[in-house]
Amino acid sequence: MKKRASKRTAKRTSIAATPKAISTWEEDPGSGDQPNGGHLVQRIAPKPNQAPFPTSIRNPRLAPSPKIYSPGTAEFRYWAAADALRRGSDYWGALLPGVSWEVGARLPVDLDHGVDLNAFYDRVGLRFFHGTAGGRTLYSGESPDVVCHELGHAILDSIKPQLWDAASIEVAAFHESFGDMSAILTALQLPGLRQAVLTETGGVLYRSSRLSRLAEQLGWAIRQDFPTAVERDCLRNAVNSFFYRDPGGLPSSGPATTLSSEPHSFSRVFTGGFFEALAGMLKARPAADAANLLQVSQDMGKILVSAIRSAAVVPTFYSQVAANMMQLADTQFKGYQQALKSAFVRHGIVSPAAAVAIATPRARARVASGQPRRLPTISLSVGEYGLGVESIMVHAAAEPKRLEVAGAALAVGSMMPPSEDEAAKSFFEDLMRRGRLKVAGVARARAAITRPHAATTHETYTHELRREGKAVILRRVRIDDCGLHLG
Amino acid sequence: MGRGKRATTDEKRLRAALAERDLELVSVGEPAPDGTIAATANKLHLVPGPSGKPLYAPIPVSLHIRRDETGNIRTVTGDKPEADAIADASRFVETLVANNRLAEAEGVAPPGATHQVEIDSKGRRILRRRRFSVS
Repeated sequence: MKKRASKRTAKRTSIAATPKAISTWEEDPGSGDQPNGGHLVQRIAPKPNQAPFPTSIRNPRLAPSPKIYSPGTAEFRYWAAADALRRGSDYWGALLPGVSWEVGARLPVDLDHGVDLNAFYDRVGLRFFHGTAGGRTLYSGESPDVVCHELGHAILDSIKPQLWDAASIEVAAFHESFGDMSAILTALQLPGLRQAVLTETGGVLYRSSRLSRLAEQLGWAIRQDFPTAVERDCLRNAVNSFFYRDPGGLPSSGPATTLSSEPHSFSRVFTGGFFEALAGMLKARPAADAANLLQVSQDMGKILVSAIRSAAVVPTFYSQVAANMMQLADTQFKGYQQALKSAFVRHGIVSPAAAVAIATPRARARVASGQPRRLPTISLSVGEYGLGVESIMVHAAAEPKRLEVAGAALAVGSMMPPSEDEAAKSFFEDLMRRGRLKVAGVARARAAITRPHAATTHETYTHELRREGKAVILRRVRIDDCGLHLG
Repeated sequence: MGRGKRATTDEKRLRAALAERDLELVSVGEPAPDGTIAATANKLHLVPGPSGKPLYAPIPVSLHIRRDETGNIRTVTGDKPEADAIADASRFVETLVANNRLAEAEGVAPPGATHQVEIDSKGRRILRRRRFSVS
């Protein structure tokens, strides 16, 4: 008897000591605008039902034997989903010790809940579907991007349950953005993907890549029936030029090329700011290599989680989270201050003045006092931008109007036409937001808003501040019409 | 308080007392030295709904609750949503309707719906999230 028990123990030890490999997609079965072409990778067979954030795959009920399966098989899909779940749980678990699922000890997962081109988190668990498009059947649970997006909803629900029922456009959109951020940050935990993305983007992360493009295959499937509902090469792209607008003034729906108040559409504003910040953070590291990219992905997770936890749930939730992220960088991640500020300002999530107010107690007090500065006609007050220069001279557009017209407001009627000094200020702030103003030499260099994708071989500013006599003057230095409108 | 997380008796009592004020408790902090309790909740607020039928929409609020020696609520501050939050909730419902994301109370929410009308014990129509979806 004793001998037999000993043999059994030896066998178990042997199994435990020899981890089995499985194969999965790195981030999605699709590639660009195609439903296939995803990158396969081999991984150690995961154990999704273990801590942290254990998940429990209920459908199918039994796990297939862990080994290398061909894509297109149910066994492959099982392990692809299991690996994505484990990776997402490990990533967020390391950042959220002691936190448990909102739904209970284990998060139930159904890999084939029915027919739909979609996936859900519904406070019971995660549900994935299968659907047919273009003559082929696809399974949303096969995509690590989709799995980690849904897992992200469950994670956010665990740390900020108040967001679940909140009747707010921006709160709902942030939940979607967090799902996409979860997919991106979880993908970056794969060494092969980090290296591949750095190669694909030439080390400039804020370029459209397999990392920024989310759920290519599901996007392709939806595009077959609804060509304008998704982006041309994926479901959503984190590299985008969407600029913040009050979502209450946006149309309720629209094609993917435009911004609407529909939460998935509006989520792209925050995701864009986040992804540009991530790129800027990498640029702030000693080298744009795989090791630094891993560090940045983990630092970003810490900053994001902490900011979300302390953010007030108000209609302007984006700016609350962004401001908290910037404040955290000011105190704990000083190397990332500029990257976060620049990204959120460039996407309009916080204004340049608010970005300064967040960073400096003096400016914060000035904003709090609520005393507006009166501007002379062509002398523009710019103290709130943190340039170290109180005012600059600009050539204001003061020619009399020929027709009393203004752009249409998105809701009803026309926008109020700005006065000359408002227009000048708006123009100046726009230059800052787009990172087109050179301030070095005259003003504080740290006040500059930078662009991570800017050329490194030559300057691409359109304007600069010049000291001429006692005055600082805004001068155009070039007209930029490169056709690549990244801002 | 999560569905999977066990509420204490005191929290249950607080939840019931807040429900009388149309407040749904979400989380509650430790009592401050002066006895005040900070909590997050959703205020059920009437907004225009589909087909002209008003809906109670949950609007997040941050509460400061003061209780007496027996644990009964004496005062609650922060329970009235700001005007911009009410406008946001109305616009949110409009967006749900425009995108076919809001299902009526009867039956199972169809594919694509993220929210459903729920009829509570008082017969009120309440906006409830049922799920988040990837698209």
